[in-house]
Amino acid sequence: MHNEKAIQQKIESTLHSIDGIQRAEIRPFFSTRLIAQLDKSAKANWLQQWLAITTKPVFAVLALSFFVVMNIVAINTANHKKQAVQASSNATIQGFSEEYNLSVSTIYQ
Amino acid sequence: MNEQLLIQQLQHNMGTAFNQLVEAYQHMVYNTALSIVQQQQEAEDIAQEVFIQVHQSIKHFKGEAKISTWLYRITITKSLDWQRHKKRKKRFAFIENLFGSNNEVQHEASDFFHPGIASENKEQSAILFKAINELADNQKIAFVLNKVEGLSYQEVADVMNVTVASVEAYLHRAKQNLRKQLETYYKSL
Repeated sequence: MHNEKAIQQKIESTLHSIDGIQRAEIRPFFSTRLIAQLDKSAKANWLQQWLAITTKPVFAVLALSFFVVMNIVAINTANHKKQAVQASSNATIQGFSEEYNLSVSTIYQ
Repeated sequence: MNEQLLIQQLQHNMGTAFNQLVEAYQHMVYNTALSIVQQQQEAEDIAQEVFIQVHQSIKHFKGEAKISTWLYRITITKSLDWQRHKKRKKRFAFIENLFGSNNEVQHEASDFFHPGIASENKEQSAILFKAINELADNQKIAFVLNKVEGLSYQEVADVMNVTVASVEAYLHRAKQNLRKQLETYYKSL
């Protein structure tokens, strides 16, 4: 194979071996596989975006503030309800004692 | 379909327009990726990635270049990235072997037979593709687009974002380097 002319011929024919090359065609149902992949990457993107938002310090501070405010509101509401229930229960007892004349009388009466 | 209309429909997120785009350009994208990465499964994966990127970034496409030019650019970038990643992995595996952490024998990639080559030229084209793989990126891209994809010098220049004179220079150097490689190969037989 050390014949220079033969080598040059071989090189030329190798360089021309792709002349008239046809376009390679992709396997059938490529679009179906692509759409499945698109759905998968859309879900992954949604998860990534969600994680990107929720792991931000601003989000953590906001969530904590919201939690604290909700707790304060809940405690206040519970206190108001407790006071209202106590007031109404006192009024009922007083009314009952007045109706049946159960009030404690003093020694002067 | 009119290209401008297709772009408008794509930008308004119409599923049928995206299907039309895939149907029209899937073989072009696949064939380009295949000529660069020289592995059928990898080329298909790259084609998928190209269309996923198109789907995600079509809103930013200004229509200054043709759709095919834009698709060629994305395909080439992704294919070259894949090749770089593969080379890095190969180098890492070699270092691992040196330190004895991996005793597996590393095999060289098998010959690549392009499905679009006539059977009588298969052997020689496999040798040529091996040599193409050794070219510098610019020379490789210019050669693949011109010789395999059949693009004109102007079209290659548009895809590569260079002048026609640069494309001519890349092709000239590519042929010179291929000749050198082939000479070394045939002399070693």
